[in-house]
Amino acid sequence: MARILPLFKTEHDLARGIVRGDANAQRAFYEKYSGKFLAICCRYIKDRMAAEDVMVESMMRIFDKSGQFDFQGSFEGWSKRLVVNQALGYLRSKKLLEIGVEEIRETAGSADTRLETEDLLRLIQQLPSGYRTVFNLYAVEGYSHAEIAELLGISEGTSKSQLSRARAALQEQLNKFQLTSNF
Amino acid sequence: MDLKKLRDMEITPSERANNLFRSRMEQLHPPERKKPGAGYFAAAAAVVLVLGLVFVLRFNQENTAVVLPDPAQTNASQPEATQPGTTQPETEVIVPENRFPAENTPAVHLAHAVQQADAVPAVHQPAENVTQTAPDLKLLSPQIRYRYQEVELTDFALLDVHQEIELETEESGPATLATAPSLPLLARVIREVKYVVNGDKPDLDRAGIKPAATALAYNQNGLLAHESRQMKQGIDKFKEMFKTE
Repeated sequence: MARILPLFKTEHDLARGIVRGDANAQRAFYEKYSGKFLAICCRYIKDRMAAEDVMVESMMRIFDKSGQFDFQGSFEGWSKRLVVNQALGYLRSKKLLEIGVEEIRETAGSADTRLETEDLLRLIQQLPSGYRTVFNLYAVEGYSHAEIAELLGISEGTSKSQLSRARAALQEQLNKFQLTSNF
Repeated sequence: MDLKKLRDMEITPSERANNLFRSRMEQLHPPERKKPGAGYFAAAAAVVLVLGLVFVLRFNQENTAVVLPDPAQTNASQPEATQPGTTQPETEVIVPENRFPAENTPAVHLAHAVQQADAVPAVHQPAENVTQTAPDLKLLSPQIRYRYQEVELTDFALLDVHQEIELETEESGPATLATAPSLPLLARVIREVKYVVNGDKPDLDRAGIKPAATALAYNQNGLLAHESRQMKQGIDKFKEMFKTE
């Protein structure tokens, strides 16, 4: 897609343009954030094409709901939350968000191994949907367990257990990955 | 794990995603059909205005053609002043005294002169003809000479304001009448404005702006001099036809 001249110097200028419904601002916003938003969608949704569809739908939703932005915080952060919600909505609609209700003790997994970002994304995408969602929300997006519980309609304990299982599963996959990479 | 990298990770959307976004944007902002704006109407009005201006200018040029009496007719009606002893020419040439009141404007003088020119085309000839006839008149009887001297020279001057008329008089010899406007242009224009305010027609010839040769010779009926003359000739022909029958 052709590059658009930086008509909007600051993030809030861009946000004002989007609130006004300016098509140039919307295109500029897509140019700037479509890559980041697609990466978010890919963390939650395994299928690439589905992730792209969700990203585009997220953009439209941002344009539609931009009037609710209060210009207090970051427009990017506000938009990311919408993208995450859109991805979660997709998972719910496809019955892919199944989170076990059993609570298990938290396993302290150490995953300090340095990985390439793409490899890490690939490992995360190998996780079961429930593990992957909680892990993304907690470890990557920075949500608290209370927020995750409210967002997904589960208890905080369930959120914690899902996170522990996700870490354990990631550790296991990481060990396998290291073994395969050493050989 | 380096989760910050994962957080800042970007994945370039495929062309399919870009096309999908474009199609969604077209749905959000449907392309409006361009209505003919004010520019189109302004351009059309300008074209009409220019064409109208060209038409008016051409029409004016055609109407401002030089109007001079027919030389054949003027020669035919010119008095034979070279024949001494005949008194016929004096009735043709002499202009009555006090024909124009002093308070009349030069435009009124011009109108009378043009009217007279309809009856006596020889008077309406250019200045060179006047200079030729003046010595001939001297050969006529003293009475004619005397009456000729009584004629206000301004009457001749008004026929052609830009050309100098040479007349030989017995007392002073050759006298040059410089009838061209000596006033500056602004003063002449102001004088014309005063005439117009008084109800007179503007005369560019009188103001020295337009040459006399191209000036319109309108008579009191608003007709051109040759037009009125042709009408008179036509009427005379009809009269003669009815008389003979």
